[in-house]
Amino acid sequence: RYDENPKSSNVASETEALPEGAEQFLAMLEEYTPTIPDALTEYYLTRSGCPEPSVNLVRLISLASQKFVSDIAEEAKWYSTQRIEATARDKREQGFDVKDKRLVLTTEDLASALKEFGVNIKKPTYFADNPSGGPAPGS
Amino acid sequence: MYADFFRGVARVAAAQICEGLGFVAVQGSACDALADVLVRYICEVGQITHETAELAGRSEGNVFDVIVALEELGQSIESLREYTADSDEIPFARPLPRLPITRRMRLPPSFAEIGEEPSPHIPSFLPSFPDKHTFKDTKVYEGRANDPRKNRLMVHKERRKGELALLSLQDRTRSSDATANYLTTDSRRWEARATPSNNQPTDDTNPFLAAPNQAPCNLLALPAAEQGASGRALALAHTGTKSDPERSSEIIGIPSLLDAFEPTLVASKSALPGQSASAQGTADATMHNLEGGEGGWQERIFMGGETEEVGQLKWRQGDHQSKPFKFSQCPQARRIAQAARNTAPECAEEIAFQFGSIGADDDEKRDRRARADAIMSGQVKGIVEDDSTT
Repeated sequence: RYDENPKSSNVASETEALPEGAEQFLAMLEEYTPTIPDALTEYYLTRSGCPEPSVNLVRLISLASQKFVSDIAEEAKWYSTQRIEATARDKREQGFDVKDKRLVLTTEDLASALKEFGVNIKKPTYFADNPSGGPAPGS
Repeated sequence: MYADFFRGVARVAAAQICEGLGFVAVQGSACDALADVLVRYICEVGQITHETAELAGRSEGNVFDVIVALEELGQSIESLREYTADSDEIPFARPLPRLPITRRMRLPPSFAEIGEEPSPHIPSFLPSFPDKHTFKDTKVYEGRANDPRKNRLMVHKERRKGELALLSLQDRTRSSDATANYLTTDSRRWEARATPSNNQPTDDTNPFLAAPNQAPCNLLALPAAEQGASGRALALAHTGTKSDPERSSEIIGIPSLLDAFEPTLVASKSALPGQSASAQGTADATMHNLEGGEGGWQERIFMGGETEEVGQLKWRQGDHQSKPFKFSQCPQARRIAQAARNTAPECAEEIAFQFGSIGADDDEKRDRRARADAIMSGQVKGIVEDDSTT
């Protein structure tokens, strides 16, 4: 029958599916406040097929998303720090201030980071028209 | 409809995550990209959760479905637990309401709730009709303050303004010839009356019909007014003429009224609205002038030979705090007017001209008061019944 062990088709067994501390973890989630607000997660979950989820689910998913974004940002941060530690000459070549030691998340760093996650945010290169007003070369 | 709103929220959340990692600033487009990734991730998790549930024959995803989805996207419960242990808890910057926001509709109250009685064909549980002013033009009138004290004050103020205006008018018109130009129609009529014509029956003993003397012509020179200073002077002068014919010669000795009123007129020149006190002081001085030499006006203002009682016009002299002199408010004014009416009832018109309505309805008032007292004391029921029958 279909409603017997409904989750067994995907997981090994019902009670063993959840690891030991997972229940406590899920219970703990009720007090934890993720950075991503519940309303946001609820809205997008409703749009994608899970209407009116319980608080546990909502918090779990928002926490997971937060971790995901945090991982991406950490990668970008790694690129950024690499840039800061670069030699002064290289920096001036690229047009960056030598003295500036602050961490700024730039699109360049983010693009490099996202590439490792399989997301491509780089815009393809394009050619602008000739400034003198004539037809574009090669067109 | 909330897409833009939640996009913005996602931007803020992404920026907060970056800040938590140590970034001082984030580029705008980088923040947008990160927010987009976040939203897509949530949608992806939800989608996979739903598909997993459907695969198992359910319509609603549960926690196991979510775990499956997360693992498919490369995360695990363990890693999540480590994450919560390591990093700090950063709540969202602003509180968000639960969307969509529902508001209870406020129904208009029913007839029964208001207490209004509807027409008989309308049941009382139905909502009441809108107020009349919502569909009809109902005028709103300014309420009138019923404070009697304030009303009296306003009346006094207006009267005082009128008197000041009159004084300034006198002042302005005083310069030219005093006698001829200012004979008003009333005073002309007075003169016509005084000179007996063939049509009218004359009464030589009636002092009001006597020809005005030369001196009183000066009095006529000033324009007659109801309650103005000159009106008072006129009244005084004519009561003076009412005295015995033998005394009429004494009247010639009265000072010219212009001289008498000089202090008042001088004051009116310099009188600003706030300086009415000085004008009043000069009114006192005026009366002093009018009193003249021996005995003065005081003795002239009596009727029918009575010398003691009525004659003492009292006002404080030199007392600049006193109220402005007004003949109508003089305590003897009523008696003077009443006596004038009694002695010369056929001259009611002139008396009305001079005294206005001072003391005119005294008899009536007295009767009414007596009746009221009687009714209050409860004695005379018979009178009440009589009134009702008439």
